[in-house]
Amino acid sequence: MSTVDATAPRTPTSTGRLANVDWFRWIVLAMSLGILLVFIVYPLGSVLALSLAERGTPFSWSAVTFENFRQLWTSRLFRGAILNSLTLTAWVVVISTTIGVTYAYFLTRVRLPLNHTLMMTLGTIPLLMPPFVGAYSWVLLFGRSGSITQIVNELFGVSLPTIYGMTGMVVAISATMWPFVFLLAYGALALSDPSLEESAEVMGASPLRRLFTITVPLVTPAVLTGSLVVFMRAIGEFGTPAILGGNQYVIPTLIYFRISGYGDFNMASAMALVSVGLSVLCLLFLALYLRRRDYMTVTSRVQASKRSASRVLGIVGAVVCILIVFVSLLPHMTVVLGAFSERWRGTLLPTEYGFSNFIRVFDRDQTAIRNSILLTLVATVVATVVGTLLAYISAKRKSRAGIIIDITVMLPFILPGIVVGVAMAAAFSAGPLVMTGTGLILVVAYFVRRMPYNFRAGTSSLQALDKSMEEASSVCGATWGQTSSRVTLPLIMPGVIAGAVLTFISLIGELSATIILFSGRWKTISVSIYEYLISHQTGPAFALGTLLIFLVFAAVFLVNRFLGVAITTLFRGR
Amino acid sequence: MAIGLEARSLTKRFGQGPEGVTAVNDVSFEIEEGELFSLLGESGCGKTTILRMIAGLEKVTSGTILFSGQDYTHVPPNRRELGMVFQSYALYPHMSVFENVAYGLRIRGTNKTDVTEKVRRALDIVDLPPDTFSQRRPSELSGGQQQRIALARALVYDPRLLLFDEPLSNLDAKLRVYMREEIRKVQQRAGITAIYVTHDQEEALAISDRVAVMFEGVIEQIGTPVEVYDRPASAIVADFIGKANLFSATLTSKTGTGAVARTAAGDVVHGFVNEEAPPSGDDVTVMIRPERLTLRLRDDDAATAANGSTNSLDATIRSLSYLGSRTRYGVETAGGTSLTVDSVRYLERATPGAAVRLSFPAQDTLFLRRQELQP
Repeated sequence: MSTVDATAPRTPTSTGRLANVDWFRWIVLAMSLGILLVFIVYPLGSVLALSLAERGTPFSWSAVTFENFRQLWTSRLFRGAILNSLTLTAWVVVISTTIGVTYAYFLTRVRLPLNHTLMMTLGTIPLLMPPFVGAYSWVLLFGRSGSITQIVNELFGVSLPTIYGMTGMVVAISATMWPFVFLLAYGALALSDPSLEESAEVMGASPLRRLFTITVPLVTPAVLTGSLVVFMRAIGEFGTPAILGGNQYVIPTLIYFRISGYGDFNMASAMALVSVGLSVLCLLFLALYLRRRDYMTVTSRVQASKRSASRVLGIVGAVVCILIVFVSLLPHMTVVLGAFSERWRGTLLPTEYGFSNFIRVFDRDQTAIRNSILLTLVATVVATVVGTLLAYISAKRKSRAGIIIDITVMLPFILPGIVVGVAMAAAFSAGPLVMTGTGLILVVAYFVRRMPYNFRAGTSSLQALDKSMEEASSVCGATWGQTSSRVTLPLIMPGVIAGAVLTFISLIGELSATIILFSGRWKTISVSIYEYLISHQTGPAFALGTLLIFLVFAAVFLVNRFLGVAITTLFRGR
Repeated sequence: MAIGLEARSLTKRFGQGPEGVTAVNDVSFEIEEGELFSLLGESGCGKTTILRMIAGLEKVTSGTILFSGQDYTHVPPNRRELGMVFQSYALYPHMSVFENVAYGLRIRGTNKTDVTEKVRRALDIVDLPPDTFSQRRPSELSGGQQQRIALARALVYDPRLLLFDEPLSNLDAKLRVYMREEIRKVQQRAGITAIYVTHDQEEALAISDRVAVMFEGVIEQIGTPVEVYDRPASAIVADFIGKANLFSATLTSKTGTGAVARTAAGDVVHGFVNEEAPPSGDDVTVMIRPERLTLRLRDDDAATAANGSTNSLDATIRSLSYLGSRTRYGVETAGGTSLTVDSVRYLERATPGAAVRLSFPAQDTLFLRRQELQP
C-alpha cells in the first residue's frame, strides 16, 4: 500500500518572487528603527542641542555656546556632585557585592539550620520596594531623634553619627541592592561541577587554596555581572540621595534641583550628558574587565554543589544571614509599622495604632494611586508586547537587522532615570511632538526605561526554546502564523509574563524619571511619597509605601500562583 | 515501483567565500515508494543536512528535490506534506499527548470526529493505548513512549514521506534495539516511504531497505545492507561498516571478475573485483572481514593448499582478546601483513606466538580501488 495517491492534487504551490520577500522583517525593522529614532536618538539629540544653547533659550545654530559646559567645569558644586556620585556608587558596589556574595555562599555551601526557601525569599524581598521609600526609615531609626539613636544614647551614652549624608545614602542604597549580587552569585555557587573542586582536592589543594584558585574564579563573572547591575542602579538613584543627602548632592539630585529650582533645562542637559558619559566610561571599563574573565566551564555536568556540614559554620552562617536579612528589611518593617501608627516618637515601637494614615491618603491621593496603576499597566503592556516582538525578530534574524535592534534596545540600559526624564522633557515639550503635561510622556519614559528588560526576558525564553519545536510544527504543515501562535508564544509565555511582572514591579514606584515629567494632573504614588517625605509627613508617606509594597506583593503572588514562577527566579539576571 | 523522492545534485554550502564549508556536495539518489532509506555516516558527514533540505528546513544551495516527479526544491516546509521525527522528539510540553498527535490534523482543519478517529488509530499503530495515554503530558512519559508519540504525530496526517533524524540516539542501548524494530514495523504497516538518518551502522543495516553511506558530504555507496557490507564500493565504506581487514596489494592476473593479487611481502590472495567500483590499475586494497577468516593451528592442519576458491596463508598469533561470543585474534602473516581474525571457537593452544594457518574463501575477498585511510 502506498500512502501517496498519484491522483491526489498535491502540486506544490509556486510562490512568486514578490511573495517570497519577507515584508514582515522590513516592517519590524522599520518599527524598531522608528522607536530608536523617535524615543531615544531624538530625545538625546534634544538634550545635546539644549546643552549647547544659552540658559533659557532654545537651540539655534547661530548661537551655539559651550558656556554651560564651561560653567560645569568650574562649578565646585558640580565637581563635588561627581565626586559624591562616584564615592557613593563605589561604596554601594563594594558593600552590596560583599553582602550578596556572603549571603549566597552561606546559602549554597553551608548546611544552615534555617529554611532554605524562606531565606531565598527573604533575600529577594529588599528588591521589591523602591529604595527611596525605605530611605526615610533610616532617619526614623537612626536620625537625631530616631528610635534606635535614643535607645543607644540612653543605654550606652553614645551618640550615633548623623544619618544624613554619605553614610546614610550608602547604607540605605546598599540594603536594597545587594540581592542583585546575591541572586547571580547564588546561581553560580549553587550549580557548579563538584568534580572541579574535588579534583583540586585530590591533587592536594587545601580548602583555602581551593576557594581562591577554583571557586572564586568560577563565580567571578556572575558576581561581576551582579555588581554591574548594582553600579548602574546606584549611579542613577535619585530618591535616596534626595531624601538622605542633606547638603551632599549627587549628579541626579543636582540635575533635579537645577530644573526644579531654576527651570534651567540647558544646564541640566549639560549635566545629564556628562553623567551619561561618566556611566558609559565606567560601564566600558567594567565590560572590558568582564570580557577578559568571561570563560565557560568545559563541562555540562552541572549539579548541586556540596555543602559543608560543619556545625560551627552552620551557626555562624545562620547568625550572619539573619542579621543581613533583618537589617535589610528594617526599612520595610518600619514603613508598614509607621503606616499603621498614630503616634511614634523616640520609642522602639509606635505607642498608638490606627488607620488614619490610610484614610488620609485614600482621600487625598486617590488620583495619584489611580494614575500610578494606570500608567504602569499601560507601559507594562506596551513594553512587553514590543519587547517580545523585537526579541522574536532579533532571535530569528541574525543579520544586520538584529544588530540594529540590539543597539536600540540596549541603549536605555546606560541611561539613568533622571536623564531619561530630562531627555523626554527636552524632546517633547516643544517641536513636532508635544507631550509634556500628559500621561503619555510618562508612559513613553517608562517604556524607554523598561522595554530592554522585556526584550531580554523574551530573548532568554526564546534561546531556551528547542528550535526543533518550531521546525516540527512547520513540517506538520503549520504556517508561520500558526507556529507562532500555537507553539512559540505559548512556550515562551511564562518567561514573557515574568518579565512583564518585573516591569510592573519596577515601574509602580518609579521616581527618577517621573519627578521630571509629572504634572498636577498626572501625579503618581512615588511623587506623593516623595513630597510627603521631604515635608517630614511620614504617616501618609508610609501608608502609600505600604500600598506600593502590597501592589508589588500582589503581582508576585499572582505570577507565583498562576505561573509557578518563584520570586527568586523573577530577578535573576537583572 | 514509482519513485517517491528524487534528489538531483544536491549541494549545501554554509557560509560564503573561503571560510564557507561544503556540507553536502553534489549528492543524487532516488527512493522508491514504500522504501526505508537510510543515510548513514559519522557526525558532520552531511546526512542531517540532506534530511533538513528534504524537509525544507534548510535552503538548498544548488540541486533539485522532486517528490513524485514534481519539483519541491523551493517549497516551504509546511507545504511539503511530510512527517518528521526529531532527535529531541520536539513534543509540545504545553499540550496533552492527544493534542500533540492531533496537531497536524488541526492545522489542516480536519473535522472533530475525524481528528479523534485518526489520533486513536495513530496511537494504536505505535502501540500506545489511546485511553491510557491521550490526556497525559509528554513530560510524564518515558523516553520510549515519547518516541512513539513523536512517531504518531508524524504519521497521523498520512504524509507522503516520513523523515527520521537520529530518532533513537537519546535512548539507552537495549531500548534502542527494540525501538528500531518497532519503527520498522510501523513503517511497513503504514506502507510509508521513509528516510532515516543515523550514525549507528548496525541500526542502519538492521532496518533499511537500502543504505546510503556518506563521508565528508559525499555519498560513497548506495546499496542494500548486504551489498554495503559484503560488497563495499570503497575501503572507506568497508572500514566504516563493521570491521574490515584492509591491506595493499598488486593484481597479478585477472580472469573475468576473479583475480589474484600479491602483497609487497609476497602473500598471494585470490579474490574478486567489485564490478561496480573497479580498481583503476593494478594497485588495489584487499578487503576481508575478520569473521570470514578461519584459523587453525598449523600442526593439526590437513594442509589445505591455496587454490582458486580458497586462500590459505601461514601466520603467527600476535595477540588475542576473548569476547565471549567470539575470540578476536591479531595475527601476522609470513609476508608481514597484520590481520584481525574473529573466531567463534576458542582454541586452547592458540596463544600468542603459536603458528597458525588462515584460510578464507576467495568469494569473500574483495579487491578495491587503492585508498589510503586515515587511522
